[in-house]
Amino acid sequence: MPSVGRSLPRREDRPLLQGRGRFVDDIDFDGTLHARFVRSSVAHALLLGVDSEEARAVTGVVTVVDAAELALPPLLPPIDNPDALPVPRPLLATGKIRFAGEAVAVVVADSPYVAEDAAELVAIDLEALPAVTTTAQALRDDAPRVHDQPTNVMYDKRFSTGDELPRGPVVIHRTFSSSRQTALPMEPRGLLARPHGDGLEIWASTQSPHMLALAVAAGLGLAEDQVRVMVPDVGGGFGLKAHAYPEELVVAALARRLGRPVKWVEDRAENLTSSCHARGQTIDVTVSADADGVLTSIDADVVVDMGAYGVYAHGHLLEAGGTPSMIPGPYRLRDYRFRSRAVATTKVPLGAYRGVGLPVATFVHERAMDLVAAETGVDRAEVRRRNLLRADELPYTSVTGQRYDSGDYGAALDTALREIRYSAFAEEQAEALRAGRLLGLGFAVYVEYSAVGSSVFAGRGMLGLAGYDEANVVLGPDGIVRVWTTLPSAGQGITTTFAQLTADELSVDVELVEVRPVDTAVGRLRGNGTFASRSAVSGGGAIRVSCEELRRRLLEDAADVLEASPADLEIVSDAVRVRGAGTSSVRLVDLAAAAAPDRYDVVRRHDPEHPVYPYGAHACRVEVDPVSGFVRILDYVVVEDCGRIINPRIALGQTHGAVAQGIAGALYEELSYDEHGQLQTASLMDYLVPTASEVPPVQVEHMHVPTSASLVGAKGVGESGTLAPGAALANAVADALGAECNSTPLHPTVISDLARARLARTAEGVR
Amino acid sequence: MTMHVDVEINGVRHRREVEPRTLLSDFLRHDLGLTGTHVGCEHGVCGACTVQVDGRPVRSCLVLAVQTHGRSVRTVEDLSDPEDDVMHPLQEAFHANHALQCGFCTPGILMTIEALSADLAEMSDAAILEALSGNLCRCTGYRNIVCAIRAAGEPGDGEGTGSWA
Repeated sequence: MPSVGRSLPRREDRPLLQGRGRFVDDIDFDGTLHARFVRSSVAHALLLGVDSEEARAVTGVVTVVDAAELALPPLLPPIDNPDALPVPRPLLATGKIRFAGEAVAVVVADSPYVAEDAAELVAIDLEALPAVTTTAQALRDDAPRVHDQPTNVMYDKRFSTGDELPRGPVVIHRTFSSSRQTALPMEPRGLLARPHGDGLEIWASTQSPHMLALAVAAGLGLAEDQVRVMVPDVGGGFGLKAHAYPEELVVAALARRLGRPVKWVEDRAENLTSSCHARGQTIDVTVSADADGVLTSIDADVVVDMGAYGVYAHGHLLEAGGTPSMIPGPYRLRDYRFRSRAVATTKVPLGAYRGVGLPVATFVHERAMDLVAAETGVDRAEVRRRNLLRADELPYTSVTGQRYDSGDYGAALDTALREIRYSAFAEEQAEALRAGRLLGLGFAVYVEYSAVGSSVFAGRGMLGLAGYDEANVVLGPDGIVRVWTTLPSAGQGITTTFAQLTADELSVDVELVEVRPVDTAVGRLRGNGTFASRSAVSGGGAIRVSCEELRRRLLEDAADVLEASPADLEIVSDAVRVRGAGTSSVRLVDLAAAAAPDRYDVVRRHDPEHPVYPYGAHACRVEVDPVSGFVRILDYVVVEDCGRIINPRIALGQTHGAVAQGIAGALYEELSYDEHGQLQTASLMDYLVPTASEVPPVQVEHMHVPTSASLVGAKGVGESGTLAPGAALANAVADALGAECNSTPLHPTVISDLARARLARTAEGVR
Repeated sequence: MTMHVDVEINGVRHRREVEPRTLLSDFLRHDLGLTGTHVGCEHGVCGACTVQVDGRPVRSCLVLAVQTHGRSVRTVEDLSDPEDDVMHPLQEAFHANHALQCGFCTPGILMTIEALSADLAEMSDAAILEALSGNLCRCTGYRNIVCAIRAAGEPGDGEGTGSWA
């Protein structure tokens, strides 16, 4: 019985439910030391000195290390891009402090309590410099320079399809913005390093263990095989853990120097002030259309607040590269120009968060569509239909070179409109308004790229990202098929879904397959790790090609035993048998027992040639409370095509979670800074993560247009749900208010003012 | 300086000397090795560290170990045994309804809701949302958690109807 397509219960669940999960902080060795970073409370300053004498005197403190004592080179993301300046990031602040939260020194002690006590005693001697807290400020000629460069613009890319873009007759110019948000995994970052032989064993809460191993080896001057990274349970990542961070290299270096295990687990305040932030963009857009609402050109000026540094190994190109490439979205557009800049400020470095750049791109093209509709008087659904690429136009290479593989964008929109009851809404809205209630309906169509391969990363100049993934599929002498990959399990269910894929690729019982935690020492695998919705596509592809080779070997060997041609053989549940020949078979466990070592130990790589393009449409109905400005989501509909679904229940769970995070960014979450560069939302009392009460039930409808761009047929499901909620909700609230909503999150104070104005206009009889 | 604490944890009496400032969460995790209780924020918002003290849900990051002197503490490890074929009904319902993804927040949610077990069958959806308001989950969007809690309050296999008005 095929395993793919069934909602098999998750294998991950039982230990996690029983309190037997094993996260980094749950691992302990005798003699483990604890690291606590001393962080700058000032955003921008010359660092004159670090006085750790008092801290060193505390009983239980083993050492206190600053940059001079650490004496390791900075992390320099390997970026080869003519539009980018290099942005080296010291492991510990050196000479200068560039954001509040930057690590300046590290205390190592025999207990975390003592380490934290002593860290308070480390004195940082600094000379404060003016903070640079907005991109507008950073772009001024007289702005303080964050780095030793003549400019704060660390990436500046221009693109145009021609010297002159066709303009008009309808021309809309707007500024859109998206505040900073962060991934906020419930388990913060953490790493435990232990000396082992002449190298290191590391347990890390990471999405990119193989990249981390390489970064640690390079940073510490070790050979690759001297660093082994193992990934225990990971309490969520969502992009934040896709990077190698300075703290991780420092802790690894300390373990080596001290010859003892050293553990570091960040607290939530550190998570908010030193783990990467995301979004944080301002986009000036000029959209031109004809009188029928058909797009004639888009001109976009994207400015990304990259913070003080990039992230390793992605650098500072994530948002600034991703957003403009997808602003054309699912629409037919031939004339396009953009400038995209990543601008350094004295704030937390910007990195990955679920959807990277694409929620903002979707916000731009979907707000633009509603504005074109309003300006031309064409219905907003009809405007989209006139511009959406038709199913028969795909595959289609977009103006920015994206190769949309397959899909039916119009069908996704129409399904969403039907499910949200669009045609009946205008009347309901008018009636509610007469009763003083503000109802709104909004929708958004999106297309996303997932599973980026090495050629695309190389084209972006991101040389530190593998782009490919590998699998090691082993049939053991016990008849169990064990699978290792380069993609850690972080809640997305791949311990279960990879077993389902493996079982079907080999035609064996799923009970015979065991997916193992990532361990860089096993199989000498190399690969990317899990981000950009790539696990099913890239990891699944690697599993598929590995299984093909293992199957070939099994059939070849069974052919000898059964005296048959491999072409006449098939694998069924736990044995190879002759097709149609009843009893003639050999069990896998017997083949394994007789085989030479390594015979059934296969490693293969999959490197997606092209990204895959999941797409869909979201639609929602909201009611706005004019007094509080609270936006109540009445209905939320998702129509999406994530390709062939491996485990429906898990795929649905991914969509639920992604939509919740999208809603969070639209209505609640914002990392805000004051003019001194102090984060004002540095606790969960201030950074408003939605609770169960804020997240509505979400109706999800699946579509499936097959793609040839994915070996296993999956298109990726992790991120897509985050792309459209910002746009759909802004459009719905704008519809309710009869006013524009062009930035997220939608602030209650702004909304309540607009809502009262709307009701006042209604009372006066003005529409 | 240390203080004496004499506390019953998961039915077992523990007598320990601890620093007075030791958090209950750290005492459970690092002194007793009960690592099923997770620490997500250390400032009492996320609810991941929730345990039961004398049957009531309490954030173990906001309680000192010495404050549990003479009391009874229950953690997620007490809900069922690794050897059990069938877990606690709430755990089974979470499994059946895919109410966890990374699983980091899960023990805190289980201990919060388990304290309300007697009332579950009678609780409205609004009451369940209210009960969950002190627990953050970043993975699931909460819907399946609500379904699981609802299912755990119903007779049957724990899979429930999946409905959520």
